[in-house]
Amino acid sequence: MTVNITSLIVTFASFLGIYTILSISLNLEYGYGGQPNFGKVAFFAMGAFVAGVMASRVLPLLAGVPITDPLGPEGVEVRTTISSTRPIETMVSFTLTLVLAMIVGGFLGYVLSYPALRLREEWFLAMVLLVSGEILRIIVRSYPPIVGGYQGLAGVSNPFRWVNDATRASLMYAGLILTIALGVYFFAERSVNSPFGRLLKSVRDDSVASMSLGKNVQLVRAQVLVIGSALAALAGALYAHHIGFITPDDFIPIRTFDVWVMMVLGGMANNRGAVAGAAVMTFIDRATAMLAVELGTFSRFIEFNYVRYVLVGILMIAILMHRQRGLLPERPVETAAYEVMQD
Amino acid sequence: MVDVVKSFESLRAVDKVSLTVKEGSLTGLIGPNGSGKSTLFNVISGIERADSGEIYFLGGCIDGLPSHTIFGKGLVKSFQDPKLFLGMTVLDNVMLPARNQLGEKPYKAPFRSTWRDQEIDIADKAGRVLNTLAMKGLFRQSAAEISGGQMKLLEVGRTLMGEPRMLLLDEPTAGVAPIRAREIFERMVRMRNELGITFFIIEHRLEVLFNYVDYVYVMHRGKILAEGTSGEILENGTVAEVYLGA
Repeated sequence: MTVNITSLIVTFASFLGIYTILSISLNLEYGYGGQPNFGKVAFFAMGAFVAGVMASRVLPLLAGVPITDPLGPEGVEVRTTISSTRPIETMVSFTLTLVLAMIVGGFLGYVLSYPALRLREEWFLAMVLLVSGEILRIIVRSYPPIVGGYQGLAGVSNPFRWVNDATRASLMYAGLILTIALGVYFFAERSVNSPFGRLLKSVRDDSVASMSLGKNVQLVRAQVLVIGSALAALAGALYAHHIGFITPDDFIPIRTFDVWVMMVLGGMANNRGAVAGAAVMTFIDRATAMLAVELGTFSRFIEFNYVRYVLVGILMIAILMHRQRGLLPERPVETAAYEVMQD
Repeated sequence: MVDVVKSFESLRAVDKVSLTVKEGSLTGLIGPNGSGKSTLFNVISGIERADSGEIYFLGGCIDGLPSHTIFGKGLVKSFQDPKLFLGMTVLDNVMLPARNQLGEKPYKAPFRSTWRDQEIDIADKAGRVLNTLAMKGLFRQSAAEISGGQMKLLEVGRTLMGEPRMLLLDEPTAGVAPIRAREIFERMVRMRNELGITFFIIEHRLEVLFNYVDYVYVMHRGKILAEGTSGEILENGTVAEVYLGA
């Protein structure tokens, strides 16, 4: 078995960054805010679809290259050429993609949750979002003009492709993903260690009491879902540019549950826990994927793609039996108030 | 409030109740278990919506408004069983109800400098409230780890942080030692006198309540059975029959 260490590092770092953003986004929604988002994959997918639309339509437009068939082989060639030779247009398009993905993801989060948030029982929200994710995937799969339908969309390049050294470009993009993930972590830490974090926890613990103490619970629920959805879409856009190929079949419901495993495993209402959960899942994900490729031809009895699910299942059972609060348990909100009380 | 009705399927929990709580008073609401007192408080505070009738607070109609809007007008309610935020500390529980917190806005929360000074002021006030409740030393403790009596006190303290003009207290002394119960009522009288807060209190400890309240309403089977001063209620034969068991 030959292992390319650089490629391994790039893949691990990229997935760690993407999974960290996803895990933190769900942790904000459910760990802190108590909003069970079982449609996480919908927002992740939306970010990827936005990346596909931007790469196939906006990138050629920015570069001033006319294109007649953005979804066909001509489109792939055009955007690959632009990404390899026009750094400014490529980076502008990529930056716009990230911003637009967050806006669209946040908006989708608000729209999908609007009816369910008016109900006191938050599990209706879970069902609405779970179903919405599948509906979105089926629509995009069945309607080729968005990102090529079931055939998908190729040529969503690494935004550093113009570096003209594939290894360097991959390392640079992995570094960018990790930097963005770090930014998301600090944003989340700042957000929850504040009166907003206190407010989220109050809605999670007892929404009726929170309402009776003057808090607009519906607004808070909507706010946290918009933030979480925007972050998931950001992860989706980063993922699309890492993989380079977008297919709706990549966004099946199991992806939502992967994110739940990361959060529960790491520890709810603890951003460090969300990162730890993402790291464990990235390791399992990548290790089994690698073994599936390397051992696939040798093994007649084990399909390593499925070993991943078995391992995740065992891990979840072990955590739920022996460490219900996750690897890193919940921490109290830390604001200046505690310094005042200490004095 | 005028002719307020609240039903749950076939059960009429509040049946055409009309009553007035005088501003600056300590008014009691008593009645046997299941007489509709807590439902009435839920309706007044917007947690439950009245089926019919009108509710006024400081001259404005409040029926149908969401509870956070009613809170904003200065009408604050505590619960019969303390509804504390058990995943939070004692301090966070007390600080939450403070009004207009800048750091509760998600676009300001990550920027500490925009809300730090206000947070310190709120913490200062929370410290004074906890001190009054003799719970300052517990500020870092999880609300899930304090005793039942302390939970009750914390619930009362939390309502005070909301700068109420009127407090609806649902059995504020339940689970509290008798001597503590008197202290709580004495504190209410002081707050009424010093801060002008109006109190409307559900209480089963009549021996304590009657010593402090200005006026009492008695509920029975969803209706107002009697009203008057403590002395008048004590002498009311019907009340004694249905409530005191005499």
